[in-house]
Amino acid sequence: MMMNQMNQAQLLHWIDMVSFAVVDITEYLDTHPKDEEAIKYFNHYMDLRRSALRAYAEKYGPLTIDSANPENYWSWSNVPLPWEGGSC
Amino acid sequence: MRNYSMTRPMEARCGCMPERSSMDSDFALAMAYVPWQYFDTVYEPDKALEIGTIFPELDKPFLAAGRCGRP
Repeated sequence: MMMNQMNQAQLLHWIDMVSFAVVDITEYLDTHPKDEEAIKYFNHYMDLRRSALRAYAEKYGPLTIDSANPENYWSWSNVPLPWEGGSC
Repeated sequence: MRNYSMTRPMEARCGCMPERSSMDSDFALAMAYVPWQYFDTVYEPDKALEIGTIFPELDKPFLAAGRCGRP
């Protein structure tokens, strides 16, 4: 399923998956900083995470302050967060 | 017959002592060793999130100390 076809819960789950891949490969790279295959894996999932966070922020509000990008409305503190029912 | 109850070595009491092996002399006593990990096959991200690691070689049941874990 393409990212733009996902509903809010599916997109949030996608973000959880790619973010977990980033976290786990980060721990590996901490002890293997020259492993080029692992760096490729990191870059791949980091790109997916960034674009998913951007897509989520555009539709449902920012999950991190990095994707807040306010223009004329401060959505950061004014949209329901996932644990406040924001993804239900 | 002599009574060995206070002097028998551990292996005689519980059978839990490892056998001596030819590797013993390669490792210093009291040092811990972690084998080097290599980046090879990884789980797909949906399975990795469910299991808790992207690395199949680190996918262990971790059932010690009364913790719940996958069988």
